[in-house]
Amino acid sequence: MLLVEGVDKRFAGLTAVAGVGFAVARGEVVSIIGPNGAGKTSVFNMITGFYAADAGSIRFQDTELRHLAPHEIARLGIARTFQNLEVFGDMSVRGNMEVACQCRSPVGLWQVLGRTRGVCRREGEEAARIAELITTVGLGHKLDLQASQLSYGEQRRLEIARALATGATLLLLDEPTAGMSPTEVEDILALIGLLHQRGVTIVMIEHNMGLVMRVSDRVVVLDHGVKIAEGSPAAIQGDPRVREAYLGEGME
Amino acid sequence: MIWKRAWPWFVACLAALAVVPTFGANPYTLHVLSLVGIYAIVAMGLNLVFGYAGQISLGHAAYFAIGAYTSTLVTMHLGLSFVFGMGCAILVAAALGALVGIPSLKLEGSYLAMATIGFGEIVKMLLVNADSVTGGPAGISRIPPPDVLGWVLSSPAQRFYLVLVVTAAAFVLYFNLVRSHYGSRFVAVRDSAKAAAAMGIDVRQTKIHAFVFSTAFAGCAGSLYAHVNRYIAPDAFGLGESINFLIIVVVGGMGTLLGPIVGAAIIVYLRETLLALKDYNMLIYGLMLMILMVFMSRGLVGTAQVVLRRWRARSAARRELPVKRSAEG
Repeated sequence: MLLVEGVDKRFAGLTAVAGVGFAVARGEVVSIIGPNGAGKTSVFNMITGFYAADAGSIRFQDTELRHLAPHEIARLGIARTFQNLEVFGDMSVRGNMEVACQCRSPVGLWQVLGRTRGVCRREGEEAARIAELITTVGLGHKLDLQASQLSYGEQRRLEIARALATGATLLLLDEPTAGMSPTEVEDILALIGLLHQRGVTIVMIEHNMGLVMRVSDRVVVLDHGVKIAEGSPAAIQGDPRVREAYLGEGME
Repeated sequence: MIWKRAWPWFVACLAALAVVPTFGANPYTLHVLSLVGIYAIVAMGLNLVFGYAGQISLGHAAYFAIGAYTSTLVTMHLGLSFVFGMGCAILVAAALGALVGIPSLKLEGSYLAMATIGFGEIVKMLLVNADSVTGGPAGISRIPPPDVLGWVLSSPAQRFYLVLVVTAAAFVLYFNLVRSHYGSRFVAVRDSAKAAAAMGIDVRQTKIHAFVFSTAFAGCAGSLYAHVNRYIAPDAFGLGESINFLIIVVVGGMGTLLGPIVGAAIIVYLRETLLALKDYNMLIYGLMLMILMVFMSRGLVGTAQVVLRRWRARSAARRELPVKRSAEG
């Protein structure tokens, strides 16, 4: 589904990512781990078009992504969340979802201005889909609340629901449990499990090793912009290079 | 749903305004009400780009002027009807909006403000110096009154009705745009351009759409202004007027649906009534704006919305309290 081959990213004299490559099959949950500054988010930014890769290839369902803009990549079916919360705070929860719903097939401007029957029908269909998705992430009762009034954990869940509302088949989650309480982490874990069951392909950057080991089919480990290991959670746990670079001897 | 709730109010407001001339309102009152409608159209457009899409423009008086002069020249020199003149005014203002918007929307904040001021000053200089076409600093007088399907609207009441119809039509378009899922893109781009792009929104195109819409509204209002006022001169289209448009949006409530209309009504009314104070009028005007902004930083409509939201939350809490107490008891 996603094939990343030998991508490089340099910022002036600093090499953030060097020759990283991995593949993601449909329906998989793949985690990217590594210490801070390992280049994990840079890889996400290159896949989603926010950074232009200096070398290598990124293919999604046989389409080369390297020269596409972020909105074009999103329309192909790749959605992402961000390390720092990026909800549309001044909008309601519903408004956030409405923005995402237009991703795959934007409505024409003239249809909107004339408020044609097609637009009304489509907005009705989208409302039903929004209600279903927002209930999935447990925010059904907060649909009309302003997004900025939600708690931190709820905003994280809204981001995931919004990404799903784009109709994405590949979901990139950048530290989905960062700053969350143990209960909130369990909620996210359950949500990822549910999405996995529904066949959504997920690539996730995560520091919470418990979560990574429980939900991942495969784990990719980066260190100083280079891939140092890839394999099943069990294999990664036993890999001495990973222990040395990131997990430490306490990881059992 | 929102449309079903809004239409009765919209029709009631139109009906109430439509009967104003029949209650013997004098020509001056009708002229002032016409100005409210004209400024409301500009402010609706400016609210799209500034309030909703978060892009500042300090050059909207230039697009207002382009609309006014285009319509005037088309009707006076080409002998075409007002409706055709207004169509040309909208198209020319929108085209120039796109032309200026495409390069300048790469800029943000104060840099964008500077670029739009620059464009405004260029237009004003052209109006002053191209006197063979624009009449120079003296402007153009004896502009023909508007005509619709061969019917010349010569009285202030008829012109008031024209402004009312055009303002209502502009409001419907504006309403459809900002309350649609499409319109939510503008706010998305303002709140987080990064997240908007990740949702499949072409951020640059969205900003340009907002800007072009905004300038088309200004062009339409400019055309109305020229034919209702029947005199235009470059002095009416300077930086001061651009700031005035911005004040209307801010006082009414940035990014609120009704803010531009409320803002236009308040500012036009204040300006007209304070004229009686002669030398002190700008002093009082400035003071009132300061007080408004200190106590209502979200503008009149924005503040009213916050108060209403708090009142509803408090009422809901009060309703829940007796239930909890009885459950505990």
